[in-house]
Amino acid sequence: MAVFILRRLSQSVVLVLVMSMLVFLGVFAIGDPINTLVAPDATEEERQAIVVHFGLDKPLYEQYGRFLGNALRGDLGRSFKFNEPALALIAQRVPATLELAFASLLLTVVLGIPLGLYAGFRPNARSSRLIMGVSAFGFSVPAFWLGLMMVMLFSVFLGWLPASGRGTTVAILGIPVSFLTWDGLKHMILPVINLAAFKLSLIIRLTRAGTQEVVMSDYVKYAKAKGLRNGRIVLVHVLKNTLIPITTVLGLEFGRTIAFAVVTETIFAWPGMGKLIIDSISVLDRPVIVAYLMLIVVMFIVINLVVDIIYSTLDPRMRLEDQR
Amino acid sequence: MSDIALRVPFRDRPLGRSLAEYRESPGAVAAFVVTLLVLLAALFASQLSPQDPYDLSKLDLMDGTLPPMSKSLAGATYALGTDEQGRDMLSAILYGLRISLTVGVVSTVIAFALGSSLGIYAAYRGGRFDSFLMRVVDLQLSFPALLIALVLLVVLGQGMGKITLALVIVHWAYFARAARGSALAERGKEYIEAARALRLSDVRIVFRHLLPNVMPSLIVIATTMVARAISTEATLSFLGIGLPITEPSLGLLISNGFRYLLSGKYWISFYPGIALVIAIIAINIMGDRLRDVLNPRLKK
Amino acid sequence: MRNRSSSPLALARLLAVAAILALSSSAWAQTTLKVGLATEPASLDPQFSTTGATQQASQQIFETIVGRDRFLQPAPALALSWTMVDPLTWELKLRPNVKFHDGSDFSAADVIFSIKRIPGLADSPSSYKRNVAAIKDCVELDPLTVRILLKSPSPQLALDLSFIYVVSDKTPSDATTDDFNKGKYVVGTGPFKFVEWVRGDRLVVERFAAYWGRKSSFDRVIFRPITSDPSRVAALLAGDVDMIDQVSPVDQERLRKDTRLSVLSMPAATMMYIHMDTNRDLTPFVKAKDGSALDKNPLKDPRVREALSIAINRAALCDRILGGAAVPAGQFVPEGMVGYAPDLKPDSYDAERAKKLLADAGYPNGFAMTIHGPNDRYLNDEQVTQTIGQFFARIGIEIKVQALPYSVFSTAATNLEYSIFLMGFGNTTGDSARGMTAVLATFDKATGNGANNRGRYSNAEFDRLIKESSLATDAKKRDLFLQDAARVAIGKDRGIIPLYYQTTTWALRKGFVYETRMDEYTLANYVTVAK
Repeated sequence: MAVFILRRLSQSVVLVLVMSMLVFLGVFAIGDPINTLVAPDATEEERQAIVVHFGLDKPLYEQYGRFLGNALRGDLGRSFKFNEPALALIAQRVPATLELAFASLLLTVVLGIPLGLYAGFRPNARSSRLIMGVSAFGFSVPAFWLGLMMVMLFSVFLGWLPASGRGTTVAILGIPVSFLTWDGLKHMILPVINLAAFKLSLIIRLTRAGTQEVVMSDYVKYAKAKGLRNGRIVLVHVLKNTLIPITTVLGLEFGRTIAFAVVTETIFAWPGMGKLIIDSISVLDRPVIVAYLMLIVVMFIVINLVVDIIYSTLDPRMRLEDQR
Repeated sequence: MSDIALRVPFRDRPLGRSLAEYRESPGAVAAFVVTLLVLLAALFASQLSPQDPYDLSKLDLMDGTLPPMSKSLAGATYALGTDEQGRDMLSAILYGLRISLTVGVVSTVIAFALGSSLGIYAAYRGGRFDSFLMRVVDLQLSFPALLIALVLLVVLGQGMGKITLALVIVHWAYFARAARGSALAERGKEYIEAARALRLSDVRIVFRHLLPNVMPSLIVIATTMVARAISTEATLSFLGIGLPITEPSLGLLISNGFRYLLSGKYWISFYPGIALVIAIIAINIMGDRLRDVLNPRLKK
Repeated sequence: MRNRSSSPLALARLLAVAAILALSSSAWAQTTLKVGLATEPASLDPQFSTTGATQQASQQIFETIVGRDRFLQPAPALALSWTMVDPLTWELKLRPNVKFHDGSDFSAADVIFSIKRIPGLADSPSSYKRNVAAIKDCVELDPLTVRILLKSPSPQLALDLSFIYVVSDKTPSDATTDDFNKGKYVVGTGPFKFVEWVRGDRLVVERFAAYWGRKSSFDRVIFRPITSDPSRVAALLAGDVDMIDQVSPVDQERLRKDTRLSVLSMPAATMMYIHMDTNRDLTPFVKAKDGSALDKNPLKDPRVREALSIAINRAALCDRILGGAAVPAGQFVPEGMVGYAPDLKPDSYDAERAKKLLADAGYPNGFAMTIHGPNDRYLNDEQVTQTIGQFFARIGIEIKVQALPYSVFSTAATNLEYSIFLMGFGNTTGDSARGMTAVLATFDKATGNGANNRGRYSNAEFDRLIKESSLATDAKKRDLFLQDAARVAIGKDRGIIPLYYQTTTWALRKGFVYETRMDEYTLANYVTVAK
C-alpha cells in the first residue's frame, strides 16, 4: 500500500510539470497578458518597461525556464495583477471553497443515496417517479440560472436568506469558517444547494440504477425467496454493487466542485478559488493560473488515489496495483 | 420457426411487451410526446420560425424587449416577446434548441465512446497503460473548460464544431474514469476469469463481456452528461466564450437573458430556460422508462 | 400579524419587541454603510496601480496632493494652492493641521516621500510613474511649502499631482505590496481608517475622527465586491447592502420604479467608439459579398467611414441597448472637459444618405465585413457590437459579429488582426489630450504616441496640433489646439467613429444620498443620510 501511494505521488511530479508547460503554452496561445494588464492609456514606454519587468519580452522557453528555476526553490511567482505571491493569493481562498465543497458533498451523500435506494427498490411507486422527475430538474438547468432564480425567490421576494456573500466567519486554528454561526450558515444554504443540485440528481440516478440491477438479479431473488430480511440484502449486495460507480462519481464531482465552482461563486459573490481562477484567466495572470492548476492537478491525483483505495476496501478483488 | 414467431401476438413479443409496459405510465407517455415535439421543433426550426433570428438585417432595434404577444412594427406577433435586439424569442428558441441538442448529444456521444472504451480497456489491461491513461485523466480533469475553450477559440475560431470539440475534450476523461472504476470491479469477477481461461481475445472480452456489464451506470452518467454538456455550453457563453452572439444556442439565450432576470423583462431568459428544462426532463423521463422496460435484467 | 396574538397582552408584547428590533436595526443602519461594488482593488498600496478599482479604495483612506472634484477638475486637497514660479519651478502650499490615521502630523516631508517613492515601485503593471515623469526634484522650503523642480515645462502638473496619493514618510522604503495588503502601513489622511480587508469578500473601514474635512455620516463602511450585475441588484433588493454601483442598464427601469430605492446617474468619462483599419491597402475582414478579396480597403475611404457613422442611430442605441445610460458622442470628450469642440455634434442617423455615400465610394451593393468587439469589458459591449452590426446590415453591408473576451480581443486588435472593432477609452484626466494622443496620433514607438492607435490613422496636421497643445502653457490656447485637433481627426476624417459616452449609475436605499462623480468612483464620504 505504502509503495502504491508513493509511486502514485511520484507520478504526480511529472503531471505537475506537464501541467505547468501546458499552461505556459495555453496562455501564450490565448494572448499577450500585457494588453489586459496595462492601463489602456499607457504610453508605449510604460508598456515596454512592464513587458521587460515581467520578462514577457523573452522567448517562451526562457520564461518557462526561469519559472522552473524559481519553482524548484519553492517560489511559484507573483501575480502580475496583484503583485502578491500566487500561492498566498490562492491560499486565502481555499477555506471558503472547501467549506462549500464539503457541505455540498455531504448534502449529496446524505440525501442522494437514500433517495436513490428508495427509488430503486420501489421503481413503480408514484413517490419514486416524483423523485426521478424532480431529480431531472436538478441537472436540466444551468447553475447560474438556478442560482439566480433561488436568489430571486428566497432573498428578494421572501427575504428569508441573504442574497450573497459569506457572512460572519469564526476562526478555527486561524482558518475562517462560516458554518459555526447562524449568519454564516444562512449564507451557505443557497450556494450549497446550487452546487449540490447536479451531483444530487446524478447520485440519485446512479444509486437507483444500481439498486434495480441488484434487486432484479438472481441471487437477490434467491435470497428473498429464502426469506432473508430486506435490510440485509440492502447492506450486503446493493450497496456493495452500487458503491463503486458512486464512489467514482463522487470523487470526480468533489474535485470539480473544488476546482471550478466559478458560477456559484460568481452568482453568490462567494470569496472562493473558482472566482480567482476565472478572473486570472480573463486577465491572463499567468503566475496565478499556473500555480492554481498545479495545485488542482495534485488535488485530483489525491482524490483519485483515495477513490482507488476505497475501491480496494469495498471489493478486495480490486487489488491496488500500478505500473510495475 | 419464423412462422411461429409471427403468429405470436404483437403485445406478447418482447418489443410489444416493452411498449405495452411503457404505456402503463402516463408520465412516460407524456414525456415521449414532448420529446417527439421537441425533436420535431428542432428539426424543422427554420420552417416553423416566424423570423430568421440569425439574419441581422431582419431584426429591428425598435422592436427590442417587447413583452410576449406584442405586435411588431411590421405587424407580426411576437408570441414569446423579443430580446433587446428585436429578435423574436420563439424563433430564437426553436433555432437554439437545435444547436443545443446537437452540441449536447454529439459531444456526449463522442466523449462517451472515446472515454468509456479507453477506461474499460485500461481497467482490463491494467499495468502501465492503466497508470498512464489515469494520469492523463487526472491532468485533463484538472484543466478548466474555460481555458480549453479559450485556447480553441484562438486557435480554431468560433463555431459549433469548436464548442463540440471543447466539450468532448472536457468530458471524455470523466467517462474514462467512471468506466474504469466499474470495469475494474467487473474484471475481478469469475466470468471474466473464465473468459480468460478460455483464451478469448482481449477485444472480445472487453466488448462482449466487460462492456455490457458496466453499461448501466455509464448510461445513467451519459444521459445526465448530455444535460451537463448543454449547461457547460451555456456557462461558457455566460463567461463569454461560447457560440457567436448572432447565432444563439439555447444556452446562449439563457445566459444573454440572465442579465434581465431581475429587470422585470423575465421573458428574455425565462422562456429559453423553461424550454431547456422541459426538453431535458422529457428526454430523461423517457430515457428512464425506456431503460427500465428494455433492460432484460430488470424483468420481473 | 398572525391571528394567534389577538389577545391584547400578546399584541402589546409583540409590539414592544418589534419596536426594540426596529430601534436597534435603525441605529445599526445609521452607523454602518454597506456598499456592493462591481470591482475590487488590486492592492491597498495607494501608489501601486492606477486602475479605477484600486484608486476607488485608495480614495477612501488616502488623499491626493491635489484633489479632483466630481467633474475631474483639480481642486484643493492636501495642497491648498499650486503656483508656477517659472516654467520649470512650481510651489505647493500645504494644508495645515492635517493628521495621519496614526496621529502623526502631515507635512512637506510626506509629500516629498510620496512623490519619490513612486519610481521605485517596479512591479506595478499600471504605475503612476508617468505622473511624476516630469519632476526632477522636490525640495522642502518649510513644513508646509514644497518646491517642485521640473525637467521640462508641464502645464498639466496639477493634474498629475491629483494622482499622487500621499503615504506617511514613516512608511519603510522596503514596504511591499503584501505588507500593504495585510493592512500594515495603510495609514493615510483620508476620511476613513483601515480596519480589515478579506480579498473577494469585504473591505472594512471606519470613520477617522480627526479628519480635516467633512466627516462621514457613518461610523463604519463595508465594501463588498459583487461582480455579477444581477447579483448586485439582488443584494440591494434583499437588503444585504445599502447601495450598489454600476447598475446595469437593463435593471434601471425597474429600480427607478421601486419606491424603496433611489437611482442616480452621472455621465462618465468613458467614450465608446468604432475603430477602423484606415491605413492599410488591404484589410483582413472586409471582403466582397461573394467572399472574394477586394482590390482595396473600403475603410480607407472617408466617405465609407462617414456612411458607417451615419448608419448608426445613436439615440436608439443609447435608449434601447444601454437603457438610456449613455449619451451620444460626436468627439472624444463630453462637454465640460478641456478639448471639447462645441460645433462637433454627434453624426445624425440617415440610412438613405449612408447608402448613397457607399454608392459614391464605389460600393452600390455594399460589401461583406466582420466587426469584432469585447464581451467582458464595457457596459453591454457584446450587445452594442451586435446592434452596430444590425445598423450596418441595414445599409446593405453583409455583416458578421464576433464578440470575444478582452484578453483575446485586445491581443488580436493590438496585432492589427481586425478591420473594424468596438473600443472604449476612459478620459480620466478631464481633457482630450491623453486620449487623442493615444488613439489617433500617428503610431510611433519612439515617442509613445498612438499607443492605442490600432487602426493606424495618421494625419500630419492632427499630429502637429497635438504637439502644439502639449507645449502650450496657456490653458486657453491648449484647449483651442485640442479642439482643432478633434475637428481634423474626427469631424473631417472620422479616424474613429465616436458612439457614446457611458453613464454611471448608482442605486441606493431610500434615505441615502450620493454625490455622484464623473470618474465612476463610489466614495463613502459623499454618501449621506437624507434629513
